[in-house]
Amino acid sequence: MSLAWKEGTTAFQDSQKARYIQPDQFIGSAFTSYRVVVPQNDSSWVRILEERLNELTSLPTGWDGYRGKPVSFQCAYFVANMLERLYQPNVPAPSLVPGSDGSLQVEWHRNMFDVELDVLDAQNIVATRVNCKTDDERVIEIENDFSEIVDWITALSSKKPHIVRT
Amino acid sequence: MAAQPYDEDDLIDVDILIRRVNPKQHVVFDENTGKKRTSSKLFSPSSGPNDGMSVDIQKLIENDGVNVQDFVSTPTFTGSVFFDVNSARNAGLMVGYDPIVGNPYHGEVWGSSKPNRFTKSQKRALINSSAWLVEIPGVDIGG
Amino acid sequence: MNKRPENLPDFTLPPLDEVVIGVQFEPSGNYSSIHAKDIWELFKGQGYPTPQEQPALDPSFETFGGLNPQPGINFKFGPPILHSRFWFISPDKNHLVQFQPDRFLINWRNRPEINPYPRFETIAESFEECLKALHKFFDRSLQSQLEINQAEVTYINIIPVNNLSCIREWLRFTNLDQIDLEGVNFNFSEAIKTGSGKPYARMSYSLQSVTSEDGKMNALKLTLTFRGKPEGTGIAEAMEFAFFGRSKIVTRFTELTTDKAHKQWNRKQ
Repeated sequence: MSLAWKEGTTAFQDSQKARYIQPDQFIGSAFTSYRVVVPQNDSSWVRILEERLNELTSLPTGWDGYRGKPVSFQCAYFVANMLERLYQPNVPAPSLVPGSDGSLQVEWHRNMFDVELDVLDAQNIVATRVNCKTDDERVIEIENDFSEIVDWITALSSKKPHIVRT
Repeated sequence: MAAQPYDEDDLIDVDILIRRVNPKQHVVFDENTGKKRTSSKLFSPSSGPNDGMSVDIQKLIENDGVNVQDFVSTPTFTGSVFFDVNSARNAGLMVGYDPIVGNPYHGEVWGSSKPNRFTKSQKRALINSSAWLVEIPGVDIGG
Repeated sequence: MNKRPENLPDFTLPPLDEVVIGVQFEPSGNYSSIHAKDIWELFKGQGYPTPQEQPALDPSFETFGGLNPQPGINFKFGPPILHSRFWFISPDKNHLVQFQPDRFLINWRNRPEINPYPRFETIAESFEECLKALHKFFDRSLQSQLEINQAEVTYINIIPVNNLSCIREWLRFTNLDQIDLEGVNFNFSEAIKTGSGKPYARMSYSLQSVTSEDGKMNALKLTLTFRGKPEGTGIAEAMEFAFFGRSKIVTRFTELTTDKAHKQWNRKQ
């Protein structure tokens, strides 16, 4: 919840009424203002993903031998967001497979499960899990709430995770 | 822009469709089997309203006297798999011509209820009926 | 114009310092830097003639679930950013429009000696007009549709205080009387859910201590942001989302601040 006390000042004039804020703070676009630093940012997921996402968003047109486009920046950003949410320390980083249309599939194949999160677009995911032992298959369509697939990720872990809830 | 989805009468059941594989992008390691294989994403259509899954139509390439393996491996070296039209249609998919700039032999495979969406079982049907045309060593066809 | 909800708390002298309304959308594949001048022409005619260039903002999505809190994406990827964010500023410098290929925002700031607070409804009306103009431009010149995937409303309040330790005279959720505070900086958030319990937006709260340029006066900067995915991708749905967000912000602001503060700000209802 709390950030370090970094910011202490915003300039303003006239104590009574006008609250002038310097131009760089006048633009109060909140899109970048509220970030919580995830303590696990040094995880291998992040290191591997950064390089791979860079590669995927920079793919040349026709990378698939046809009309393939690079992964769209918004899609990649959304995937990064999703992976930060889903990260568990005992689960290895997923494979990322691009689609010809700029989409991105996130997949794991371990512990006798196949988990595939096909991110067709930001906030448009088809999530599939197959139990390789029983051939049972579950498909869920997700927009922005990943609660239903947390257990899928936990089932991929190497050992019981130590979960610290903040 | 992709052609409107349709099923081409001129393409008969035994005609061969080729799907190119990028060894760097389409291949994953499957810990369940301990082997590398192609991702199911290889057998996914694009998501635009009339989009399907791109293929090369072998008989059109051959009719033009072009070497099939050479054609599907350029300009970038890629692997490729093939399956027949019958396999696609049996899975409930449609196949049609869709020539594009630089590839007059291009075709599309479309879903029937939703052109741009294949079910898991449709993808599996394509995977099970595919074989390597230009093999990527050490990689199974999977998904 | 949308009417203000009748039961919404109202203040004659609120400590409101800035209001932001914004949307994020899928960028058009047909947009290039050459179109920036056309975009400027669009908003010049709407009362925002003065351009300025800023670095582009990263995409942002409100997401929920998972074992980790709302992420801050700290790693950078992708090809070098080709496009800037443009500000188009009104002559009185009270109003500002921001554009980049996947984002559009409008800002109003408080300078009462120039213009009084125009009220949210007026700001929203300007925002909607500008957004419709942008949509027409996308359609006509880029052959693309504006597909909105996130929307937000932000209220920034500046509350002058004699010293920081008297925070609880203004805010109900703090009791720091025993601490000789040097500075304050904390954030919290809540997920906003539909009737069926599905989260679709987030209300974020931020409290920071601020000082005047000469360092002689202290104030608290209380920022409330309502952000998330509107029900549809069109402008109408984005506006509905924005109005609901405003109501939520004003209600929460009233709940979080004290009766004494309300008296100071001349609460009408």
